[in-house]
Amino acid sequence: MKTFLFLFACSIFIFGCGSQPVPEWKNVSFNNLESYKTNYLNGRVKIAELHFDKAIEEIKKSGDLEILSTAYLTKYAVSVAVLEDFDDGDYLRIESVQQNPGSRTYYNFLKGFFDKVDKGLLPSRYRDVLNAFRDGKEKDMEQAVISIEDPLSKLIAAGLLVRHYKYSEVILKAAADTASVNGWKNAHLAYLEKLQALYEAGKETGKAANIQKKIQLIRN
Amino acid sequence: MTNKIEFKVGLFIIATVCLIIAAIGYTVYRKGFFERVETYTLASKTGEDLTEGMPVVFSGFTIGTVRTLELSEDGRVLIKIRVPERHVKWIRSDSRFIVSKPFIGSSRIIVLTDNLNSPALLEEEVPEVTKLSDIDETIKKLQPVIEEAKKITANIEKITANLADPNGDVQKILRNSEKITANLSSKESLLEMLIRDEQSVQAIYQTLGKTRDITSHADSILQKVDTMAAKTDEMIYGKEGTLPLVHKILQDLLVKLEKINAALDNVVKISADVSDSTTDIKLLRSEIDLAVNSINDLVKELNQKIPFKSKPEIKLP
Repeated sequence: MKTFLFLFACSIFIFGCGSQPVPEWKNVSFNNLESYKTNYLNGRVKIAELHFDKAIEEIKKSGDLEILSTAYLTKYAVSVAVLEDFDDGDYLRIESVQQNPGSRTYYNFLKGFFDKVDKGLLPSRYRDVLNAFRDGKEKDMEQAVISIEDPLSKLIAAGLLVRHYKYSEVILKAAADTASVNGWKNAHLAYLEKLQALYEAGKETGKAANIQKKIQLIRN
Repeated sequence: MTNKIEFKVGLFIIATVCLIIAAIGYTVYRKGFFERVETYTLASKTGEDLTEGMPVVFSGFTIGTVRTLELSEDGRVLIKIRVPERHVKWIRSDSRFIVSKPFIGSSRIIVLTDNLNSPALLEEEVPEVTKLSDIDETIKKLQPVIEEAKKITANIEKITANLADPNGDVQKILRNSEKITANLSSKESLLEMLIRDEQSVQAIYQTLGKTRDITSHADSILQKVDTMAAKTDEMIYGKEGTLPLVHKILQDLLVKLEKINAALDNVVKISADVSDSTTDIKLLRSEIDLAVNSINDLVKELNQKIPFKSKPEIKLP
């Protein structure tokens, strides 16, 4: 045990000494982008926008277009997660100056151009989802989305499924639960509204009214 | 021949042995083995952070080591330190001894000597050591700052939330200001704008209406006067005549005008108050700016000082 602790302490010491101080812009932009995500998902949209603008301002200090496009794609992905449309103008302007295959793949994924997505460049957690989307089998798609561990990634995949394919209450409930557990009010409400619309379309008025009441309770 | 070889081997062995002895001797000498060592006794209330063999440091240089730790009859911990004679000069009777546990690394006893000319510490004297723990001190110092920062952050969040909230006070004020400005530009009713209370406006309109009635009344009286020109002046100038009536009406009107004047004064006063609070708001704003900047600096420093934090990397979600 003592030897282990000693080796552990030594390794921490060595790695600690070796690490370079992180540049300020990176730290600030990272923190602001994280704040953007949580605030937007929580429903504090105006505060979220402030954080996003700050993140962009910091990234622009470095002039790194790849990170800049990542930031915009993050914003679009959050919009997809809360079932909203997004304006891709900013990303396309960056792409017209500097192409990056990884960003393009993720962009295609978010836009629903699943045939143009390069599986090798897509973050690994979405690969099963991509396969299922390409096959188009409802059960497989739902299963693939639900089995994603990261909550935001799960909502992004759920958002894509809802937008581009036929969906059932299973996926909407799973997404609403994920949002609820994480306290993401905006996302939670978005999926509850979809669920209500689904029940209304299926003439299940009792369930729809129940969801409607729940939405009213949560909203105010 | 054999003798020569034996002699050479013997010589080699003797030389080697001599060299080894010389090397050991030199090392031992350099390590101060033959040097006279003074032993001093220090006392501490607790044996925490104290270990045998821990260094005694003066100006960052190790000048001795802790030899033994004992518990005395009165419950104090006696620390015996060994200091080679060449370092004894750093330890004076007024030296202070501090047990320091640094953020990273083992603890040590630090010797602080302000006056090197004061008399040397006697072996019988038992100075007390004081304890200093960097971590505790830092945390203690940081605690109130973090508490303050938390409070300020909560306040700022409240303010920002209020700013962003469509039903918040600030938004309300902005909407009201917009309305006032819109009213100003449309000039729909200056009176209504100043008083903003429709009932009062109605009241004033009614009063004006009455005045108008009175004026027409007076007109009709005048007409009558005209038609009754033949009648005596008594009708006009008498106690119940027309002129005293007009006089009364004018007086009444004057009182009403006074009231409007007072209301206008109030409006002016309110505007002045508003401009006063504007300076207050500006002050508040600059104070908030200052607080936010200080917090930013603090966060930056903390970020830099926390060594094992995971690296921030912007990745696709």
